[in-house]
This record gives sequence, structure tokens and C-alpha cells, in this order.
Amino acid sequence: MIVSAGPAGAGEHVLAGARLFRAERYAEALVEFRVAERLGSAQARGYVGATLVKLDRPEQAVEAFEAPGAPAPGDDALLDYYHALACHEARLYLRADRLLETIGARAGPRIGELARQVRADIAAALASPPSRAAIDWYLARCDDNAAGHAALARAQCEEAAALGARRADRYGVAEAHSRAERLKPARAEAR
Amino acid sequence: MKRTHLLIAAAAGFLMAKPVLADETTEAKNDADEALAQKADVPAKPPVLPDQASDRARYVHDNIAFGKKGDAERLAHSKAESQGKSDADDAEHDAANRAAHGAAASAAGAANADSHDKAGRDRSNDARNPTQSPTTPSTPRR
Repeated sequence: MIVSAGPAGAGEHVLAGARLFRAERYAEALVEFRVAERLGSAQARGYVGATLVKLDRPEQAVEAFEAPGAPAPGDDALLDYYHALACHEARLYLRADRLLETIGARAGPRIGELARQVRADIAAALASPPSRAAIDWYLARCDDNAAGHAALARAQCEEAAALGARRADRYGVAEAHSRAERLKPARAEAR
Repeated sequence: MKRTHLLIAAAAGFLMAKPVLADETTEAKNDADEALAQKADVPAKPPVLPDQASDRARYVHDNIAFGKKGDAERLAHSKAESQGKSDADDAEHDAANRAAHGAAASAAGAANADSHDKAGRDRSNDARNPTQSPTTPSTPRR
């Protein structure tokens, strides 16, 4: 668990960002959290991701959460919940489910209950095997984002692989794995 | 001796400042976590797997059939209609102008013709009755 909000100076901006976030002034909160991030606060990168979720920019949020230096899944249950929301809104449902699964009661009873609800919705939506068209959609997005948004592209290829694995014919799995492998793993750089 | 005192004071200051800094950053983190927890909610949209066909259909609906393109076409039609009306108004105005000019020219032409006729009649009368001609100079008889 990361305890510090960052080096000297960053804490001030995290406080300002928190105040603005509470007031639902998300665009301004984003600026404060970004300043804290630049001052060296790793935790602030997670707050940037959470704020991007609130600003309805889920794909950018996924990139923020999965960028090198961001808090790793499991470090902070609350940030894991926002990371899962970012994945959910970016249609990375199986990725979201994996994150939500680990939250349990770590983030308190309220967040735990929200996580349970979201998981139930995902389970209902993915009850039947996904169509080939759905898997193609993720593969196409993975290709589109491969050049400038490697972390997002990799997440989309991994989603395609996970969805394909739910079909009897494992449609697209090998292709998705091979494309995901070609993309530089964002987290491997950081750790 | 003085230098030693300075070093001890600096070290004490550093040791005291470090917990203060840690307190500040912990406070910032706690405050941010509280704000994030307070505003956490379930996703706005239900989970729906995408597929190329439905996305294309949505795109067509939003942008071509009834959406943006439809609006754009309606706007273009409306503009064309008002432009057409305006053109028709202009044409009508031009035609009226042309008619007025024509009428004026015709009236002027008619007036000119009347004047020519009158001149012709005068000249004919003069030829028949030369003494009455006002233009003939009269010489006194002695």
C-alpha cells in the first residue's frame, strides 16, 4: 500500500485536487492532480485516472492507470475500483471484472457493494459466448491504437483473446495473443 | 564548537521536518481517497459487447439516416428553398422593372410619334396656306 501522496509540494496539489473533485469540478481537479504527478507523486497518477473516468474519457483513464509508474493493481483498492470503471466504460469488461474480483471488502463496504453490482451486470452481459463480430471489433481497435496508444491497444487485444477463449472455436485467440505480444507491455517497463 | 552546534541544530530540524512532511502527504492522500470514495458510483452505461454491424448501424442512424446528415440535408433543403424564393422574388422584381422600363419606353416612343405627327401636320398646313405662316417675314408696302 502506498502511504505517501508524493514529495514536497505534490501534497498541496493533491489536496487542492481532492477539494475540487469533491466539488465535482473535475476538469480543474485534473489539472491539480497532473501537477502533483509531474512533481513526482505516483499516487497522483491514479487520481488522474479516476478524474478522467469522471470526465467520461475512459480510454485515456485506462492509459493513465496502466502507464509505467502508476499504482499497480492490488496496491490501492479504491484506485482499483476506478481502474475497473475505466475498463468498463472502455468496454474492457473482462479486464474490469478481474480488477473488481480482487477488491472485495478492501475498499470498505460501500465500494465492495458497488463492485459486486458491477460484476453481476458484467456476468449477465457475458453469459453467452461472444460473437465473432465482437472479437473483431476489439482486434480492429487494437490495430487502430497500436501506433500511439500501446497500453490501450494491448488491453484491447487481451480483451479479444479473453473473449475468444469463451467460444468453443477459440475464435481470434491466437491472433489476439500474437498482436498483444508485439505491443510493448506497459507494466513490464515500470517493474 | 560553533560548527558542531550548527550541525546538531540542522540535523534536529531535518528530523523534525520529515514527520511533518509525511503528515502533510498522508493527509493529502487521505483527503483525496475520501473524495474519490464519496464520488464513486456504478457505471453510467450497462455492459454491452460491441460488434461491427451494430456500430455501423448506429453510425448510419446517427450520422446519415436521421441524424447529422439528415439534419444537414434538411438544412440544405430549407436554404435552397429560401434561396429559391429569394431568387424568384428577385426575378419578379426584375421582370417588374423590365416591364416598367418597357412601358416608359413605349410611352416615350408614343409621345415622340405624336410629336412627329403634329410636326408633319403643321408642315402640311403651311404648304397649303403660306400667308398664314408665322415664319414668313412681311415687307411694308410703300
